[in-house]
Amino acid sequence: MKATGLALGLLCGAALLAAQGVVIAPHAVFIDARTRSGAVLLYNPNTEPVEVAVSFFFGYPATDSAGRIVVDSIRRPDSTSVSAAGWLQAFPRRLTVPPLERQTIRLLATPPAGLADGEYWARLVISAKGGQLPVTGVADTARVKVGLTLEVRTIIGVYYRKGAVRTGVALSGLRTAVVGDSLALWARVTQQGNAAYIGTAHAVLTDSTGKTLSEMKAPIGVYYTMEPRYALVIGALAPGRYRLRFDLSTGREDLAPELVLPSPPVRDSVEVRVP
Amino acid sequence: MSRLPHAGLLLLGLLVPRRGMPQSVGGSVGIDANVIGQALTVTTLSNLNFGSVPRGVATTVQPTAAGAGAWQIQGSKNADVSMAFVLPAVLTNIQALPGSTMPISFGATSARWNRATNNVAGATAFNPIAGATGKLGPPANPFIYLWIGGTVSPAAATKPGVYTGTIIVTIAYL
Amino acid sequence: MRGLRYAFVLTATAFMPLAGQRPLTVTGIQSLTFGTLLPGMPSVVSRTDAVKSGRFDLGGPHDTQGQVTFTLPSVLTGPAGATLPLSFGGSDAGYSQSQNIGSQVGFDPKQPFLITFSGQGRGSIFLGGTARPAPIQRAGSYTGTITLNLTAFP
Repeated sequence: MKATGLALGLLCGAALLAAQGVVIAPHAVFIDARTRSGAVLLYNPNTEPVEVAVSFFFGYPATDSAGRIVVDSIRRPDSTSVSAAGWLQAFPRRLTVPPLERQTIRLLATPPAGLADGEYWARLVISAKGGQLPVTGVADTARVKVGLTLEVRTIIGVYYRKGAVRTGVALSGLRTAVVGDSLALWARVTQQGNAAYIGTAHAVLTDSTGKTLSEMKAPIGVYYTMEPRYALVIGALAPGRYRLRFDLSTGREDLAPELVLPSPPVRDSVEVRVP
Repeated sequence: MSRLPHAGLLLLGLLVPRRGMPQSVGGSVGIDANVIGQALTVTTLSNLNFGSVPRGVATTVQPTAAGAGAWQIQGSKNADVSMAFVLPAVLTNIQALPGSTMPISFGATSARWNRATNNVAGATAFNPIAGATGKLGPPANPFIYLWIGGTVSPAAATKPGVYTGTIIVTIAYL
Repeated sequence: MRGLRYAFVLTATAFMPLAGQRPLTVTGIQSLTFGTLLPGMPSVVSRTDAVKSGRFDLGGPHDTQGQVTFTLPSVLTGPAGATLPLSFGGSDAGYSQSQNIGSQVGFDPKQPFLITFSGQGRGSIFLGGTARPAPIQRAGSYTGTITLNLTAFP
């Protein structure tokens, strides 16, 4: 039998796919109870239209045993949870974004009567499918045109705020370990108040003279209690004693200042001994 | 009496408009803009492409190969994102009679991700079935790059034609 | 009698309206508004955009000329001192004697421009521009000011 090559039309053919993606902003949507509405902007930078579908679920970042941050998805939140997923709607839920155009998705909250003051959360899923792509390497394509679909799902946070909302974070259990050319650090952080703590984690390693040897900053969202792991690149440190300072503050560059709930910074430090 | 005409001429002289210094005035308006907040963009850079495969022989595309699927994720610098996949178990022949399928599988190192740098050789391998969490790059390069390969296993009697499927990549901002 | 004639002439002269004394005015009517911007995505406002373009109304002696110059910012200023680049192209400004946004003569706002007031001594300037937020642009509100100087030559 002639070994017939099979043209595999999985996700298109040999030609490099033109860059395809939908720009989604902001990456966090804050809805005030007075307006009960928010918006997400989509921009299609491509030359083909993109089909978009929107849905909600309840979930929030948490950490696993290794300190990695993951999204905990709660399929059936109970009545005491702070889930907003059941009463958030998106308009439209399905749309096509033409090439090089922007479209707005409006979010509307219809919370239950008597909702207590506080912040309620949901995750917004934005699924984007690009245009149909041709398949190459097929012997007879004269009358058969095949389109392949690629799908990208982006998940962002939605925060509904009612009444007096306040936030804070408690910091404890700061510890470090030298791992290869990095200094790993862990801290136990616990949300306080009735709103998620949205801020920035900052770590600085200094030597005995106070000189900064390594530094890192990263956005953080604390919803309950978590123990995130961070890493500072330190290279080959000379034996001796160093100081790691770790602080959490509510300053964020990627969110408009008026959206971030203020809270006093918290900080801690530990000695790092390199044998 | 003769002073009256002189006074009149003087008054006229005072009242006649004079050519002199140009007048200048100014006014201003504001300019305003509102930057909505950091955007998140997931861009498909290339498709997973197996090309032509022989019947009865499993064919693998490594995530490091030119035929691997690739994505670029751009967002807030140093932010954590999770990366997960919904993967097909079979591909369907869209030219033959219904029911013509081909298995596809993904292994423990079928995917890779790299922070900030579009370099698969230095990327971290992971199992796309399990997913991974990574940190977007620093200010100059707030990216994560993602690659995926896989293995197709056409049976010896697999019908010729085009086999298709869909891979869904899910990026969650944490 | 002759004195009375002179007095009458003087009085008439005193009350005669004098050409060139209509005051020059520049009134800022509408801000240049870029609205919501995505980081990394340039945003253009056309001078013919009735909602977003900037507008100045000018007043001066009818049918006379004046020279318009702008002081244009190169950036907008935002949270924590962040700046957002701004640019103006060769046709981002327009002048309309009829004060009608649909009837403008385009000009480069970076260069002086000679305008002629209408028969009623009026005119309007419309202004567009381009905002260029960086991909890592800090989120928040950004503002700036455009100043228009009008010089008339009586």
